[in-house]
Amino acid sequence: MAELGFEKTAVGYNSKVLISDISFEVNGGEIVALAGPNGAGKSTILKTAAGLLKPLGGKVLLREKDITEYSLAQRSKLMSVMMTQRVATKYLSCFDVVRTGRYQYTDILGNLSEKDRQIIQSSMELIGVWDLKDRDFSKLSDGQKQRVLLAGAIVSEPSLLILDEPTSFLDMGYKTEFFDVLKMLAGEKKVAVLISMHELELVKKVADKVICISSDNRIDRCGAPADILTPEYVEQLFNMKEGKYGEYYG
Amino acid sequence: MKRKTVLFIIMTAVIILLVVINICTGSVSVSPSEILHIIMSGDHDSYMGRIILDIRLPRIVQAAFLGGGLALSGYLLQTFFNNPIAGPYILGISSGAKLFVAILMVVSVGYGFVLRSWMMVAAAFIGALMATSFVLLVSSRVRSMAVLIVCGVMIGYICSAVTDFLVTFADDNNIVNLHNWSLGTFSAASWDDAVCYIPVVAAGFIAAFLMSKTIEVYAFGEDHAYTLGVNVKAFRLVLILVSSLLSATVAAFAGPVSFVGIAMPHVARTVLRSSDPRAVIPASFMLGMAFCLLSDMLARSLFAPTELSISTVTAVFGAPIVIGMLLKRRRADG
Repeated sequence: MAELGFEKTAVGYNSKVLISDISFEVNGGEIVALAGPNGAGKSTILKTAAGLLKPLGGKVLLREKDITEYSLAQRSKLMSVMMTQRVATKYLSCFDVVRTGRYQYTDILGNLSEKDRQIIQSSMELIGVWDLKDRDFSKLSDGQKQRVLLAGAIVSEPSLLILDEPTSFLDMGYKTEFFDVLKMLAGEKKVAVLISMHELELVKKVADKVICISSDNRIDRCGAPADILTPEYVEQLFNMKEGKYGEYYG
Repeated sequence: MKRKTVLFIIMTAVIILLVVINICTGSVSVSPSEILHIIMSGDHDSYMGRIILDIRLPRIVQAAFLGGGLALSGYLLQTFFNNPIAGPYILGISSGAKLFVAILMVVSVGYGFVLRSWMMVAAAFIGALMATSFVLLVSSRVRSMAVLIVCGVMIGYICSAVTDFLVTFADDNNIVNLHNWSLGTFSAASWDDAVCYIPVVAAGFIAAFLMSKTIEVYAFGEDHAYTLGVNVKAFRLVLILVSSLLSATVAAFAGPVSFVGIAMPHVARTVLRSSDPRAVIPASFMLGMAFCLLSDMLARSLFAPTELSISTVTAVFGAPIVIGMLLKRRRADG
């Protein structure tokens, strides 16, 4: 059973279709990457998958049931979403940031049960940020922040993770650490992951499937990254001159 | 945890101290033991008894509850806009409420009906909602908080101008009353009003406190709150209604009171070193209480027997706090 499915879905803003006829599935334990130039519509697809935008045609399925049939609470228990965002709040410890991920499980005032505490601790340990728990979130480095936010995303034990360019601002070391964690989540916890990313070299190492969106807003190709992401194709997808990929990335 | 407990004890002590000073001081000084006797015996017959029970006590209760309500209203608005530089006064909401109460007062004189507390609150609520709707209309078009605040200040000026116009041409015997109120004062406090505003403020406080879990996740952004399962539209509506009702209630009974709503939540966050709504909400409320009790004491006593309007005093203390906030933000951004 696919955790997430797009069935001939059209996505866009304000009833203006950006990309139509999108079909793909994300299964448990699978990492599916969205790749393509800026403005192609990667975030729009992710926002539609997250329920932040309504599909403008076709269907979005969660566990083979239309996403609109779920209540907000049910939906948020199944999936976690990590969008590019700047958290401005001051005086917030990393533990607090992760704690808010338990929103659906805590009582009306947000008090934590023993089970909540255990899951928060184990999630933070899993990502390797438990030692940061008392640190002020706003004073962390970008890499640490992204990892804490990831811990906050998995603390609700979702079966589907939606991540919008989580590694764009991270240096190489943090990138590899982040993807280590992601691969482990997919491998061990069988989480389905839909992620947009710019680092095509890493897509090949991380993703099981890549969906390429071209600059004229079409789903251009879809399949195994190693087969699809040839230098020639990448040059075409990103509108580069011939040989430029080899010159800079080869 | 310990730090918070100590701070709450200090705030409680400060409030009690301010209440005692406020009861004891005034045109006639009374010793605390005499006051205790008057309050215990409920002595309405003596001259002193009436001063304490019918003038000073209701005024203290009003300053405390409306001050708390105002701080809370500011906190909810700051949550709504996800920006600490927001408050009912600066966004023109208090002035909108003031205008509608002024119209109601003039109409009541013209048609000769007796004004009831709930009518004032209702009129103020309508005025507050109208000003708020305008602010929201602007905010849906412009994302800039600076533009929003300038618009709010402009609304405030327009509403105040119209109110001044009404005050200038109002009936002679009502003008004194209306004039004082339109500048902001706790001097018209009565127990009859208290029966009206205490339940409203208490309900607002409980509503805000029960929303604290959602307020906390909303600070991470609308989209994030939505993906956690928050019904964002309903939440925003409740926020705006509760904050408008609170600031409207204050405006109905005390007129416009500046800087409490914008500054006190900031002070609360800073002294608590926390943004946990479960602590910041009660702390803002208590600081609002203390701040208005202090300001009212100064308004009454600094140039006695002449009374200052409450906003004159709150602005002197509140404006520097807000300027400090702005400077600090600039530094943090840059």
